Amino acid sequence: MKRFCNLTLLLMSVGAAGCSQSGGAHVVPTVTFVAADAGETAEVESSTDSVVMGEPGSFNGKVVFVGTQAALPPLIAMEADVKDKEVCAAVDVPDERLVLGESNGVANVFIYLAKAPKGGKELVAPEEPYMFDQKNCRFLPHCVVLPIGQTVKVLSDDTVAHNTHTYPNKNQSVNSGVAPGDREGKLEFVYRKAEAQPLSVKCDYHTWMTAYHLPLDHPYGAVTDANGGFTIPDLPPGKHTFVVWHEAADGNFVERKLAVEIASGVATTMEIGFPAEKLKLK
Amino acid sequence: MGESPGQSLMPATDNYSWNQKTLNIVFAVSSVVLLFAVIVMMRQDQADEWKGYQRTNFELDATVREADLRDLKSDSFLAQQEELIGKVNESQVALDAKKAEQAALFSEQDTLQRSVEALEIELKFKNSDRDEARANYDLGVRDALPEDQALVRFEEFKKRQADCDETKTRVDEAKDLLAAKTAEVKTITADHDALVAQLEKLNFEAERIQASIEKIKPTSLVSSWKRAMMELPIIDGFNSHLRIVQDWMPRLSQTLGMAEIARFDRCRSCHLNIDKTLADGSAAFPEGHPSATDVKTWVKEKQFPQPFSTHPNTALFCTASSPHPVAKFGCTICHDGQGSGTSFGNAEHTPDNPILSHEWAGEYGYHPNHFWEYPMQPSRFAESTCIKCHHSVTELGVNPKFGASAPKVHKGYTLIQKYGCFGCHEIQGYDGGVAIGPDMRLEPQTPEEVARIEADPTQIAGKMRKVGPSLRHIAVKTTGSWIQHWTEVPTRFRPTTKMPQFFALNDHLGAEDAAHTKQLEGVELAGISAVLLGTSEPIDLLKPAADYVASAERGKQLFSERGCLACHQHAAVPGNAADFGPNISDIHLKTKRNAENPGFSDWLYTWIREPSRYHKRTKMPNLYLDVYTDVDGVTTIDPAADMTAFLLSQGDPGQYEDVVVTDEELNSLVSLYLTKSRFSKAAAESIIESGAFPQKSADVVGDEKSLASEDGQAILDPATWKAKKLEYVGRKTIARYGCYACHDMPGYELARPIGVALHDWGRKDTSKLGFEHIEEFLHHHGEAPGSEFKSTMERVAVANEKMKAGGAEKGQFTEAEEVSEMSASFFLDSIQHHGRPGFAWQKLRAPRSYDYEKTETKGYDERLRMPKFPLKEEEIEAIATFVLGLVADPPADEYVYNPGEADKTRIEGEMLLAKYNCTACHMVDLPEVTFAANLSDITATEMGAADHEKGLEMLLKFRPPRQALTGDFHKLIIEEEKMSLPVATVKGLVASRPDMEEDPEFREYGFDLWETVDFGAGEEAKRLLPGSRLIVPDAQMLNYKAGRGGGFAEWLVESLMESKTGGNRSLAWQASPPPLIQEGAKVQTPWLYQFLLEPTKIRYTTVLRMPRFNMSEAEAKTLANYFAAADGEKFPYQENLPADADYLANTQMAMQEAGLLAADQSYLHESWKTLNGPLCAKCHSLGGKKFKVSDPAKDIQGPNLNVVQNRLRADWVKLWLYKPTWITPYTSMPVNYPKNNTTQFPDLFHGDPESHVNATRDALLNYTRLMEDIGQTSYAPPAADAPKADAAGGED
Repeated sequence: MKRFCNLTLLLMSVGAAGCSQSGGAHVVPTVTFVAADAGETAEVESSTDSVVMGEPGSFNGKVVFVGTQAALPPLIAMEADVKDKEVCAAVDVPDERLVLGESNGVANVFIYLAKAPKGGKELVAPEEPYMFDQKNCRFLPHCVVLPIGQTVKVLSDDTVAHNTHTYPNKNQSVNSGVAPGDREGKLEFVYRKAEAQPLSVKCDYHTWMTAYHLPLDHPYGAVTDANGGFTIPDLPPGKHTFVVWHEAADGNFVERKLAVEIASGVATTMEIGFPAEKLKLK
Repeated sequence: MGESPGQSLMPATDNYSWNQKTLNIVFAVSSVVLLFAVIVMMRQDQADEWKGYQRTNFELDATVREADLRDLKSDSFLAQQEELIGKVNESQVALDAKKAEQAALFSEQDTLQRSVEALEIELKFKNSDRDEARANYDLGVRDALPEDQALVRFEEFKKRQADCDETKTRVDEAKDLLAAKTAEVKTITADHDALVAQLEKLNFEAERIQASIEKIKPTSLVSSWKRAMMELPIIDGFNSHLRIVQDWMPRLSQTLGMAEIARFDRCRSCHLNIDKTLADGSAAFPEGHPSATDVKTWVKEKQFPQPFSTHPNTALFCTASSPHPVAKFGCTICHDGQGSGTSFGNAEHTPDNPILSHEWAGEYGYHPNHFWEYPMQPSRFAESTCIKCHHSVTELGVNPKFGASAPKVHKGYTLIQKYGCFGCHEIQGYDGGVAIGPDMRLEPQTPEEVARIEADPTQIAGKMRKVGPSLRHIAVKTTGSWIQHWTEVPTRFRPTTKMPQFFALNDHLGAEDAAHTKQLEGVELAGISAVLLGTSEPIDLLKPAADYVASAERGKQLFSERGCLACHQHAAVPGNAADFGPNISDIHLKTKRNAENPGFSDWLYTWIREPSRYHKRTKMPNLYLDVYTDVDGVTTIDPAADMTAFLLSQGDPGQYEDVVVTDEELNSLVSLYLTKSRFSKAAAESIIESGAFPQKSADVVGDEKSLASEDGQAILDPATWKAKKLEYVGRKTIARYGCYACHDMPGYELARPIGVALHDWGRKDTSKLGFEHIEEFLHHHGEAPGSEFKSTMERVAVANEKMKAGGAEKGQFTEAEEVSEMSASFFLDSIQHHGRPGFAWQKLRAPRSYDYEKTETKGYDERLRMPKFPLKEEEIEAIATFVLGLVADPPADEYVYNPGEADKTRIEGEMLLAKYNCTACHMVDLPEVTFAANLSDITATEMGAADHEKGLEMLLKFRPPRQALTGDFHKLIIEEEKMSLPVATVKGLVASRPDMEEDPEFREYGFDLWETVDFGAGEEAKRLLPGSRLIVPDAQMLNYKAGRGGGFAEWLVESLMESKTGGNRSLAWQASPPPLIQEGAKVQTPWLYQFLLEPTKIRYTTVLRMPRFNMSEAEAKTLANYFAAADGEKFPYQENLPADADYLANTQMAMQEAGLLAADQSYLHESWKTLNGPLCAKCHSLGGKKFKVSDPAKDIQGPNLNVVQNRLRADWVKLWLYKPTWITPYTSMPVNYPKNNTTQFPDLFHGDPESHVNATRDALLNYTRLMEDIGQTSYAPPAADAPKADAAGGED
């Protein structure tokens, strides 16, 4: 079944409703895919099945919502009667569970390789810390891919205290207060291990505040921009399997195992569909 | 030969009346025979079994020591030895070369020594001169000499003193010189001396072992000869190395015949190594089955056969450091047998099954000796004697130090508790106030009984509750036809019920008798239901609001979340395995429904909402199912009504037929009981015929009251008369079967138990056991329908054959089969020898089988009454183990287990945990994970800039580090590489499970540690603090041992992750019953006492509340103390240090000295500000301010803080504030005062977070006082600087 799905996906470029993988992945009805040799993709099983020699290629494209979905009302409307409303309800706080951009592009989708590919670039964690911020009781950014080993500093631009609570699977959980207006980032932590899926970050004081971090031990992961676009550069040519993850997808996976063949030296482009029936706003 | 008195006496002659020659021959022959007999006796004495064992043991001992010596003298040892000898020789040579120098030094040293001595003598003289001068002066003072003369004497004294001082200085100088010289001399020999000492130390152990071998296996001829001589007859009486080893326990007496005598155990004459341990406490001679019979093989294989092996549990038995040292307890107090016996047979060993008995007969000439009162316990009953001294039994099953040391007897105890055997069979634990064994009596049933016992200081009330539900108000609960259907065969309605079966047990009867019995039983069943419904007392049932529309769907969710599944199972909500309460999947079938609304039952609603309204002594708690408003703020929810609707929505009510009661059978039973009462056959017939009982009902005592009318007139209406007769038979039936033993029934409060008392059943005279025709029965029957065997005897015969053919070892059985079949074989053999175990076994398997072929000669009412319980054979064996241990023969006081206050509290608390099923919801010990640890993958917990070192110090006291590595290694292959990894164990909760859709190498478990563990020791050690996340690859998991208790909580967590928390396990745990880990160190005992009696709402995150149990004040006290006792904390009272005036004054002063508090500031007032600042109030209601609700469904509201001062212990609160995840890894409570965060409250205590922790704690524990003194306070820290830059993070 799995193979059949991949085949369908890669060769026929048509919808195959009902052909779903365990884990909830749903086959994309609108795939436009330029592949070098699609005939062999049926063997694709893991992210690094085969790597051919050659110049690295890149993977880019867009995640598109298929169907209609009205824009979500603000999570916290301005002046709503919530805790610390002078700060938290000073502006409309958007509901970021589903953010659609131009031509239904889905923002905040994680696209990444489940494990480091053979022949890929070594991960070099930046020396400088990553600044993870919060303003008006909202984490900034909402979704981010982080290299393991990089220090994360938590800032706050609010005049009320916050609490940053991470819920990782493999890493040490963090649960610590952040003083009002801390622009220095006294709370700092490091992800030591790669996670299989993005982890949620919450504030226990303001429980609506949520962000997602994805620590990876390789550089091949991206979050879609406001219009659903993404680019993953420097991929070794060959067959790869990507995870496409979104917080509001049923079971979280838009695609659990998206097989893509990266051609040497060129950009491989793909449009990934996010069918409306897969949306589950919890 | 004598002459008759009448005859005249003749003088003596030389003719003797015997022949001297013959006599000589007789003497000669008899002396030869006697000599021969003495020789034979000595020969036999020399050949005693125990001597042989002792000889072998000396050989064994020598072999072990030789092996030790060999191990010691390893290559590295020898090399080291050789090297040292070489060095000693070298240094000797060097020393020799320095001889001249040494001699010169010695001489110098000698000269100095002499000069010191000379000077010391001089000093002594001068001191005495000085003393003389002083004395002269003193005399002058006494005699009041003129001043000038006195002055002269004083001057003289001063001069002498100066002289002394000067000499003393010279002595010291000379001593210094000598010391320097001595040191110089020593430096020459120092190296040599050190080497010699090193060599001696190295050789010491080897020489010690060598010497000990020499003692038992001498190499010199003289020693060998001396040793051999000591074994010769007569000489061996003088301190030979072969001797009886005797333990004498004068206070541990035994009763033999009628006499009480001291106990002598000679078991150790053969079992010589029974208490021998190695330095680490493990058995020196572990029991096993070595492949050969020579001692060398035993030592090589480290397996030792009996009687040379060490006791299998040296931590508990025999050794001096164990609680049962052999010198104090001997052997037979636990094992029974004849302690004075020194041969296999005389010791009264008992085989564990008939096949073993057969083998022993061949090997040791064994045969059972019926004349010894206390034969040794076969190993299957080894634990039964524990309860002679351990009357509380619980400590044998749950013990923090020794684990479950006697699980079988403990299981028997818990089964008896579960099935309520004590309802019919009294198990008296006291004889006139003296404890004689486990006490399992029913609690007093009436207020009068309670008062009587309380008034009598020698009486101790029973504690057991009746195990069945109350039938006092049964008419509101169910119908008569259901009662009949249920009572006849309870398992037909509910296969898992613990209610035993009284009826339809007629396999032992012939067909005709069985059919007739069935008819009579029909009458009895109808009679029982008539009595129950007729005497049922009315109660006011609760009802939901008239307009309330119950939702079955919501009811299902509430049913699964509000705690019902902690005790019950229900098919509609599968997945949990609770069996404390009944499986209630069928409750809709039996429950009486409202007449006007069959979808609802006021009875069920009442029962769920307020159980004790229906059953005063029920263990079912009050779950606080109060009506509330949903998170939407509008919907009113009555949880009990919804649950009722859910339970009843499972199907229509069951339809049950009433049993058919024919007049003939009814009359025959009435007639039977009347004639047994006091009426003649004819009188009985006449009463039945006429409906006229000869007395008014008020004048009748006994069940016959049912037949009499109030006015004494005949009852002419046939229906009324029939009902009367039915009630009469019903009452007789209830009395006969003792239904009130388990159920509260009106009118039977004072009825006595109907069974045989069991408190001394383990010693019951076997001639009083009614075996009747049981062997015949077992010859033809005895196995359940569907069994492959026609009879028990056939089953056992087959089993015995298989066992003879090698048993499980030879593939004849599975291991489990061998255990169960040999058990049956043992018990059948016991029945055939009229033993107690066999009797009990069959009594529990098929209680009525003892009536086999007996009913013909018995009246119907004389038939056996014991019901059949749904017990498995291994459960029967556990019960037998317990009951056989009930001997009512406690040893002297100092031997009876008498725990100290803390242990006693712990044991009683354990009983209550079991009684109220506390561990269904609460985990009291964490799961233990065993895994192969790849140490390079384990990351030690880092202490960051935010962590408080002082907090860490507290943490390490609260949870001291434990070594995770067990010392074992596990071989495995990881990524095609063979590895041997150290095995580690840690305790913690599952944080994540492997994702089976991932590739195998990515399948990992995550655990959150709840303890401090070290991986390794020394500098290499990696320390993981509680709250650390430990990742264990699936391939490296070796074992997961579930925690103790908390099954429902774990089930609920998984369920809530699905339904409520979006997969977030931490939040799901916060919504579930918390593990009670170190609860005793957390809460104040007096608070817990109150809380147990009247649980208040503490948490807002949970989906359920702590229910209120039907618990007495004494029980609440014990349980509250239990938690403190289990954690080794003080109870029942704790001081609240932060409220102490001295503490507060000192803290104020210290703070001011440290510059953290201004001179005009009050420590407590500043603390109150800290607590009331915009941090704690984010999640807690406090200081008169209510928690601000933003989203009722998602908000995380912490407990109200006004309860802290009475609820929590001061140290715990402080540690909690330092870092909450150190205590509870899943909590949402953050670190509010990170050590590096000084800008939180910059104007309080100079922004010092350490002080904030302390101040918050102290404010919490002085809460009421501060609320009184200062009251509601709003503290806002000075506004932080305006944000300097745009938010980073680079979001759109």
